[in-house]
Amino acid sequence: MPDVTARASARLAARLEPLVRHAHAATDAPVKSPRTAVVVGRLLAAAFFVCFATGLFSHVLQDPASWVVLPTRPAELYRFTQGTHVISGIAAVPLLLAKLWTVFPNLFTWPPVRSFPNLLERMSIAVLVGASLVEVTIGLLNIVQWYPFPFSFRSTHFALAWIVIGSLAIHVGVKLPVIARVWRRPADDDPDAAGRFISRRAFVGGVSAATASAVLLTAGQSVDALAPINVFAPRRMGVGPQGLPVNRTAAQAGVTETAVAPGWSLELVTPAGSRAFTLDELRRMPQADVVLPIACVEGWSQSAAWRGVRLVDLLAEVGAEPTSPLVFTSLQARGSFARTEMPPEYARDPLTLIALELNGSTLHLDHGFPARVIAPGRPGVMQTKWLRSIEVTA
Amino acid sequence: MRAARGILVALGLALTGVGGLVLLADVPPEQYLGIAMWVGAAIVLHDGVIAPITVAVGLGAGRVRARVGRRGIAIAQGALLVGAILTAIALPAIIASARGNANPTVLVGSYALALGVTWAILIAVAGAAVWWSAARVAVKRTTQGADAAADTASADTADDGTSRTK
Repeated sequence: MPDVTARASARLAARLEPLVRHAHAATDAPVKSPRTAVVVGRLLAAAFFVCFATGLFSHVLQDPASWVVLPTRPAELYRFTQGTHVISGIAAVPLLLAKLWTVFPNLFTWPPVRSFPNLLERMSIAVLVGASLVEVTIGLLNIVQWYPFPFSFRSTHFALAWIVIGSLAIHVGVKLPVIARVWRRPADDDPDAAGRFISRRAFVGGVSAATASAVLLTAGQSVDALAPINVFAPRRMGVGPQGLPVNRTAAQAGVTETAVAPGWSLELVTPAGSRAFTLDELRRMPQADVVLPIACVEGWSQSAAWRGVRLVDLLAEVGAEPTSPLVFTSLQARGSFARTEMPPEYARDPLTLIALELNGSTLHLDHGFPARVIAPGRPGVMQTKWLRSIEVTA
Repeated sequence: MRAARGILVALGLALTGVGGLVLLADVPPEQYLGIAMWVGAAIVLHDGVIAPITVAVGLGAGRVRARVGRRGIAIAQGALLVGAILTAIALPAIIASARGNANPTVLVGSYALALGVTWAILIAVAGAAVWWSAARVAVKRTTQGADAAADTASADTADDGTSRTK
């Protein structure tokens, strides 16, 4: 029996070896040198690292550990980090494909596995490649709000991010001698050499052009200066009720009736008791004007002018001092952000408002009428709309 | 070097381990199979479809390079690359737009139209570059033919030689 399997595998190997060698020869080219792989790999690693760091920051803001004091300034911080997250993720699409193009012939090696460490290395590369491709793909799908995958976006995107950045670190560690050789040795190759498929200069130029056009034609959903050439991004600045996009409409949240009910009041619950503020009472309190961005986890953002009651003033009205997270409850019945917690550093910030007006008129129903939270430096999903109650815990 | 490699691999294992813990803690187990299938399918789709197409395009470009001239073919390849990437970026938006969204402030662009216009521009640029480059090659050939019929060692014809070598 062992004899039969040995003969069968020998025959299979004899068949496969020329195929694999042929595939390697057919896909290889002088341009696909370690130098090109390092040049593109460096840019891809930078994009992945920026994406990972900004994504991690976003998760920390959404699920803060109790001992972390979050930064409330600069007020546009989250707008910057999350805009950068989506921009670097989009830049990673051409860079990832370019990197894979330069190393594709390495898929075909004979023997397929040389040793146990070699097996581990090949497996780590399979994980890196597969997880990276899925990570950028579901990121792109999430910003257009299309979910054709059979798993939850948020937790999978977060888990894969760690796996991608970890297997990338392993990959850089394994390839460090190759990388160091390319960095140390002066380039003696000719960038204009024709290559079989493309010259290196044309390849680098093409990848740069593809990366630049992908970024420039989408970044306008978060970068004001690029808004006029925003062609491919899902959101557009200025498009939405009161000139501002909406993450979730009143109809989607199921609050079209409850939010306009005449008996609405905002309930403020403190350890000492609770007090309800009607809309008229809120309007009669001193109003503050602030300019703060709505910055969505999906990468789009836009600055807007808000008017309403400072949260500190409202809390002072009931004699409450924010020392622990406040709990905001929305009228919306469903959704993971129907109830949000606000760390005390935001509650104490004078820029944080219970907003009643947006861009000069009463808050549109889709923007959270009758009252919503707007605080500096927070993800849009945590700027709770259609407020029902605020709970101050001791 | 050894220490740096060791640190990077150890760090990588630790970070990957965190990813595994997040999977265990935050992702429902019934979704694991779906994630594994998407990761596997991504590798198969890239290695089995996308990468072979780029190889085929490259081989085709290598074949016509001598006739078209290497500047022209390089610009055409660059235009194709830009178009392919923008298609990959725009395709989810086009499909999601067609499926519709209850929120009128998302997917507000005309993505299919924008992609069509983009391709028209790219094809025009590539066409002009190829035409200009091919004309230069033709001029060079005729002058060379007049000067020395035996000598064909110009840059473009030399490229053709390497492109045929396997």
